[in-house]
Amino acid sequence: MKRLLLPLGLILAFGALKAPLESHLLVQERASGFQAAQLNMQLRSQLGQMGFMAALSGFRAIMADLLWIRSGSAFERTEWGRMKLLLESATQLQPKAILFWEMAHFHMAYDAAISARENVTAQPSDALRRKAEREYHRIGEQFLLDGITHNPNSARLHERLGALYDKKFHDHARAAQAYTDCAQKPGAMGYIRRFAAYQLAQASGYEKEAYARLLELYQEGEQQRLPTLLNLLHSLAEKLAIPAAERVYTPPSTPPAQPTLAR
Amino acid sequence: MNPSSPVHSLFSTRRIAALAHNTLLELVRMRVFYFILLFALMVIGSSLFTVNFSFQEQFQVLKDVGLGAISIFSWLLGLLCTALLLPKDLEDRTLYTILAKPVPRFEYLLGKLLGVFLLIGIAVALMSLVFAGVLGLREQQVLAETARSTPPADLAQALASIRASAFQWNLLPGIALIYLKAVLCATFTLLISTFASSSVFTVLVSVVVYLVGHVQGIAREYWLGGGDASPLIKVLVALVALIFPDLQLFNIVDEIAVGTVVPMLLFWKITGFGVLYTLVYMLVAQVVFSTREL
Repeated sequence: MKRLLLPLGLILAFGALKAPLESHLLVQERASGFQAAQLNMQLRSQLGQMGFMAALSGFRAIMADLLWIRSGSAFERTEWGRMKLLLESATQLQPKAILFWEMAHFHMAYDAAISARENVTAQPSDALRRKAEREYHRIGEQFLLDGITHNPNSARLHERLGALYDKKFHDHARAAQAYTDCAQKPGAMGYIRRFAAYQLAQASGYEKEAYARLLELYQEGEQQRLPTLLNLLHSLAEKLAIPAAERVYTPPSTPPAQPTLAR
Repeated sequence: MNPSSPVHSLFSTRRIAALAHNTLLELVRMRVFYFILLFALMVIGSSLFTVNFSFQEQFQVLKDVGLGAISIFSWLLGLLCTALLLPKDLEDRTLYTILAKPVPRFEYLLGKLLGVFLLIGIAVALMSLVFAGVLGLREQQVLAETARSTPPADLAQALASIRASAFQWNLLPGIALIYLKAVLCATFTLLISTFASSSVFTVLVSVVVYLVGHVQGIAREYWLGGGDASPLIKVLVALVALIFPDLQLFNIVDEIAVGTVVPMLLFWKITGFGVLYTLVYMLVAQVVFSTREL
């Protein structure tokens, strides 16, 4: 036993030196986007004791995939509540997987929401079905917002958020903001800036700003002068009463309607 | 001393290389590489299991399963081979034959350990080749399917998206860190085996070290943060933080697999830390082994 005292002392001395260095390295790893997963009690109940141990022991990604696959079987049985819990756990285990956030939002805000709205047998009240639908829209939105918190540079998640605000919330100002944020991210598609301007053009109270943005895009050249942009420019110019001399686009006058022959 | 006889040096890389070579041969003859077949079955199986998924899901599951399997197999290989080293040499009396010659105990330990490191290295390289092969094959299939079914205008973007989801060179630093973690665990196992009375004890304690090593960070943060627990708990937490290595620091491959790029400076810092751990545990193993009665 006595012969083990020196080695134990060496290990403890090394431990005292290494502990602050380990903490420092962990901070650096987190700053670089690693070690972002939060392992909590909800995850433990989802994974079970062995699964939780596996997740702790370096098999986090495999456990996240397992939960993801299980959420697929919940989808097939339209068990939306269970699916939401499984998706939450999968995204917590693998918060850097854009695919998980994107698909989780889609399953909730589109699949589950439509199912809730149309399932008359489960809920005869139209008002309650609409309420459930809105709830699933919010859950989908939350998945995207959490995903963006973990992956702030993901153009894809910002784009999905813009589409969600547009198509499900009909909130064009927030959709425009999401698309504007998206356009500043690396890898954003070229059409995103146009989408941001289109959304702003539909938001009431932002007409001047929308007109300025559309004008800016128009002045970039032919590649931006698409029919939707031109039509929006024209309708906003009408709305804002822009003098004819200052207008950059006037739609060709429509030919006079042909008189119809009476039968 | 006979002036014609060669001078015996205290440290010889040739002796260490000979020991490492023999250890590697000995382990290879134990047919440890059969587990590669099991690994290949796992990766191919997961590849077949995911054929109905979208290509992003397929590649993600394949990468997670492949990298997870490389991690667990390399750790298990290092653990079992290292745990058997000393007891087997004691049982066969090889240890006495070697140490009766002018071979210092340090060289013996280092040679044995380097043999295991080589074995883990070969195993990780073979598993990585199988993994990359299966992933590449699946990528080619998906590319061919997409080329058949996608309109020409969207084809280039679709193919680029598939290629971005499949094998990327960025995975290599992650695989290197898996190797480093296995090497570190093997060194800790060697340290345990220098005072352990049986291989079973060594294996059990090493498994505990592996499990506790992955939650050491929680204990360390609690200890350094000065949590308000009872003195006994504080002492226990401090012991966990001081004695065990933080193995979680080497687990960055999960994020790498989904596209997070590891900065080279961070990679070298983690590598340096792993090498430091390995050297210190090797040194402590030598201190224990040098005083062990054989």
